[in-house]
Amino acid sequence: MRALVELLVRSLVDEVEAVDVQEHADVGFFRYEVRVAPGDVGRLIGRQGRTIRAVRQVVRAAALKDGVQVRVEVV
Amino acid sequence: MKSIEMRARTIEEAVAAAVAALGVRREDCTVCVLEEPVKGLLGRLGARGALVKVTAAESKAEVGLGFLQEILGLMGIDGTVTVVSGDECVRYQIEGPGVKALIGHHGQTLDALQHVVNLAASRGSQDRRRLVVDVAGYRQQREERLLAMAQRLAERVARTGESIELEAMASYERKVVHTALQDHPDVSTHSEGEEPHRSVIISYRRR
Repeated sequence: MRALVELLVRSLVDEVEAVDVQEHADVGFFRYEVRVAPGDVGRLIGRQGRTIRAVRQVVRAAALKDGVQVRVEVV
Repeated sequence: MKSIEMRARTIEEAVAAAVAALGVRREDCTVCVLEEPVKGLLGRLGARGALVKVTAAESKAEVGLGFLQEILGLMGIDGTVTVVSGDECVRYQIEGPGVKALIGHHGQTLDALQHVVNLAASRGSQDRRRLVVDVAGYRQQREERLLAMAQRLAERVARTGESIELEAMASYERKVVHTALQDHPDVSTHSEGEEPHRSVIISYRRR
């Protein structure tokens, strides 16, 4: 799952090397903390949050298949 | 990255021949002129054509395909992606057992996937074509249902004279409805509301 989040984020930003995705197992769900270069934050979030919503939707679909809950946060 | 060297009378001719030989789109190529054409003296003595090196980057359609295949792999979905390359859009048709997990409620996951693949493949590409992702014929069926519904509701509006607001739809779905009814004699269509809750309204048009 972490690899999927990383693939999605890396394919959307300019500074691929600056992408960092941390996985945390919280009670009942996995939480992914995504860090990108400051200049890429807007690109990752997208107009009216459209892009980050799309990323979350795809990750959620993958999680649903595995029967787990996930959260993707940009920090 | 594939590249080829080509010699022809002019630079333009050499580039065109090289692009054709590589079987790629011109906008995916970078050109390096290795030798300028030389005119030569009387009777073409010493004349020499242009030599160019043309390099084709991975095309937008290929980047999109690779990206989708990688996502399928990471999601553990066994599916094959077929690419249909058109003038206005590139369609990816995903088929196989378990691919329905990619559709989601009202096609939300499919729309999300399409949004992301468009962004990922458009970076640095001159190719302006839209990428369309379809899973197990979902979009196609949805389009057919929308067309049927648009016609049915248009008839009702024409009969009763009362406007009807459709459910909220994504932009390309609204476009299907607008296009379907643009030549209808008795109704007109427009959209109201803010994304993502924007919806089409079919209203009566006096003749």
